[in-house]
Amino acid sequence: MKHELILLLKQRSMVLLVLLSLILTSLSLQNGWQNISHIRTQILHAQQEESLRKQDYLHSHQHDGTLDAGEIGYYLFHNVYHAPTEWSFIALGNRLVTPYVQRIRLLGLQGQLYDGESHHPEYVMLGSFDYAFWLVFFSPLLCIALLHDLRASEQQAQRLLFLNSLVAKPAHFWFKRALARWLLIVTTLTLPVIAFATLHALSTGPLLLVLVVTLLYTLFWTMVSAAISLHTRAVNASFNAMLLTSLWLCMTVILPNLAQLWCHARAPVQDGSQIALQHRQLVHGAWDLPKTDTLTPFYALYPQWRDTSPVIGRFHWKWYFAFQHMADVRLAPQVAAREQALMQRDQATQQLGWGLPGVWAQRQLEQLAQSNVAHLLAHRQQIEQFHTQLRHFVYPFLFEEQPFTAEDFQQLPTFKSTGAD
Amino acid sequence: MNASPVWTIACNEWRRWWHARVPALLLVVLLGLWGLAALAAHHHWQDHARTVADVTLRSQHDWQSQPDRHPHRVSHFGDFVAKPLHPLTVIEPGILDQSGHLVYLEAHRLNSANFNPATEATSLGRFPLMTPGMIVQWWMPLFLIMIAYATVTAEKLAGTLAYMRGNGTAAWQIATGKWLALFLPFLLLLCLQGLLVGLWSWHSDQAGLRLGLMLLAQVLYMAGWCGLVVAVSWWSRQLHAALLTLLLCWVCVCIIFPRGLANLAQVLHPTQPRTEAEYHAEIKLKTLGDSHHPNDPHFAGFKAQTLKLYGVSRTEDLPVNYNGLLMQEGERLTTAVYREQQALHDAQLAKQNAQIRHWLWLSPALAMQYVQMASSGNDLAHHQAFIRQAEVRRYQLIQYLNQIHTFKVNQAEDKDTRVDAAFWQNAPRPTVSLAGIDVSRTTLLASLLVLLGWIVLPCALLYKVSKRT
Repeated sequence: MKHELILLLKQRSMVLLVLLSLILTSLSLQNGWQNISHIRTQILHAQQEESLRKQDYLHSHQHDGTLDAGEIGYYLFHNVYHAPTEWSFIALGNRLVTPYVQRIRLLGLQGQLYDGESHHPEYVMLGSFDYAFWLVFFSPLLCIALLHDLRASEQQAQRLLFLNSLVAKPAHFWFKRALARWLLIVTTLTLPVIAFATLHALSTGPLLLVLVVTLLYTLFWTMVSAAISLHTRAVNASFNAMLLTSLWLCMTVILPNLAQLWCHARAPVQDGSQIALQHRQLVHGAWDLPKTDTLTPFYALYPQWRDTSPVIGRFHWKWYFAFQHMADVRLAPQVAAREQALMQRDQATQQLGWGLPGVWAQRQLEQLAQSNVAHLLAHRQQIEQFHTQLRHFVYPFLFEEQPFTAEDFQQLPTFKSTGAD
Repeated sequence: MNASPVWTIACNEWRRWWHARVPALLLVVLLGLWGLAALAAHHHWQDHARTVADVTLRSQHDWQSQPDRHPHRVSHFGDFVAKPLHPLTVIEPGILDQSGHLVYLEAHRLNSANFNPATEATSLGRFPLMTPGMIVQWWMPLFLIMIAYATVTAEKLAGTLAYMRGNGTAAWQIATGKWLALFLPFLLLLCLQGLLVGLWSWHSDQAGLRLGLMLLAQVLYMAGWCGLVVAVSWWSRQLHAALLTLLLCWVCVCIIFPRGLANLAQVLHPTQPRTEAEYHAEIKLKTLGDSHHPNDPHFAGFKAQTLKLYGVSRTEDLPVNYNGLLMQEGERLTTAVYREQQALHDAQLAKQNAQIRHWLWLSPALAMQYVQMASSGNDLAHHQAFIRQAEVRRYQLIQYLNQIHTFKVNQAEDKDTRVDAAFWQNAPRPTVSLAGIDVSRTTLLASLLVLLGWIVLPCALLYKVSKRT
């Protein structure tokens, strides 16, 4: 084994390839880290700003020590954060597109939940250069480069017959050769990861998972490459290279694309714009309806406010926030159906992962980084819970018309991101 | 000096492809993949086009069926516009999935373009999309490499190259013959694709210009690759070395550099979160003037000016609705600030673009993709033009409503008035159309320059290596 490695590293092109791989792996890690730390800084900044802004609001909207609860609902924005976890840098996933800081107020949630982020769309389209991409796309190419000509190179150097006559157990010999190459590939991939994890003092559990995914995924490609290059008739290195490259394209582009088409056909998702349009219609239509049309179903949900003073005048905040909420309630079945369809797609992706190692590796890393659609949905649910918490906090002041004091203002709930480390 | 040896060499090359079977087979596979990609892309386009049509129809219906309302209610009811699609999206969807396709236009708010499928994509969404554009950008060069990496090296190894040279065939003739043999089939494929798509989308906006530019870029791109393959094949002493060198070039040019460049730009010039921009705009608005604040200097001045204009002493005596005038002034201010914020954001993205353009020569594949995206109306410039158009429409519409508020609503009973629905039905809501291709002028120029350089490079290399043998 040692001799095999020495033999390998004596070739100058091999040393270059190993160095290149080491550098690019480190770059991919660093790039992911940069992206995530940018998100972290922005979130930290927004958190600091938020408390300042709330104090500012308190000062400017206070009249004799009390505030108007309706105005708080309408004018006061609360930040919600999609915080990255410790290992999010390993796979940026949909963190490239999802907003990491959003502002929510007490109005209907469905009108606010889908606000876009100001990212560069072309950048998102080209995709991130993170470890997941590097592993899923490039480690197969490394395997192919190192293993496609196991027999063919010996044949070319006219040593193949000689070798076959020398070694007692050819299988053992070729196994050692392939193993040495796999070890080299694994080293170039895992060494930077381990160094990076040590440098930033990251937790070891996820590190082990990353290492296992890396080992298994490269092992798969090593085995495929070795199987093809050790085939008895595989003495044409170029043919092997072409065959393996085609296989690589099949596994990393064609099949995932077909799988995605199948997934989308199997679990169709209503376009979000339909929800937005209906939400608007429900919210604004309520202005033209008799107030009881809104309040009766609302009081059915919140019987505790049923006996509060009736809304007689042209406008009252409690009626206003009631119809905002009722729009969300009416849309809830559609939103749930959308969520379910998206989860179905995610489940289907997981199942496809058993047949497509690339998809499997990508998904494993995204699960670890919490940057998958399932995490986005969980985040949206968190926002919804926070919104509910806010509503329940403000409702007593609206419906019972209690004075909203500066002290109450300090008690307003703030968003706690469970994703944060 | 006649051209017939060139032609003979090209024909011989094709004969070899036919006899070796593998190249011919690869071409057939490429065609099959192209068909698959075209089907998938067409499905994708249809899906989007249907969404856009649905949204436009529904938005129009909702708008027109509004009852009698107070104008300010209508300006908060707002309007939805969907981003129009060019049929050439079928070839290159570009940022279609990444940029939102729906903007909500309402009074004193600048909303983002929302709903992009990329946000809700599963892990499968992280794999590159298969489209006809991608076939040209990635797969044609790759298949070209696999078909023809041996084109000159094999002749060299078999000794026929030296024989031909000894017979007096000039190096340029051999190179041109080989290059033609590689290039013509791909040219045929590209023209065929152009013709089919042209027939399918001839009625669309600027179809000729857009398709022409796209085809030009594709032809230049493939011409460069053919040149590179011939040059590397001539330069290599071994078949295997030729293949590996070409594959390495392909990986760098098509995959590593585009992603690397985009990531570099993002790391060097990171974008601010949208919420920050919104907050800064609000702060700025407060310093400019707060119409809710009775003693605000800006609005006090505005009031005095208005009273003077109409020659009255109290707002109640004005012949028009003062609230409506306030709304107009307020909208003017907020719009100015929001547009400024939008310009700042655009400038931020422009910085990233400039960074990428600076290094674009590294990746002709990216340059070609830029041309494809610009031609199909799916690049950043077109998206920004759409946002600008939507913003203009928003401002016109809101100010129209504010004018109705000023002139048709009696100030004394302002809040209880409903204005006839006919006014909304006649509101100015110009159709948002796809911007002309000249919005992407800078990108197009830079990309085409890079592509021109891309064909010069292999020629220079070829000139050098052909002297060697």
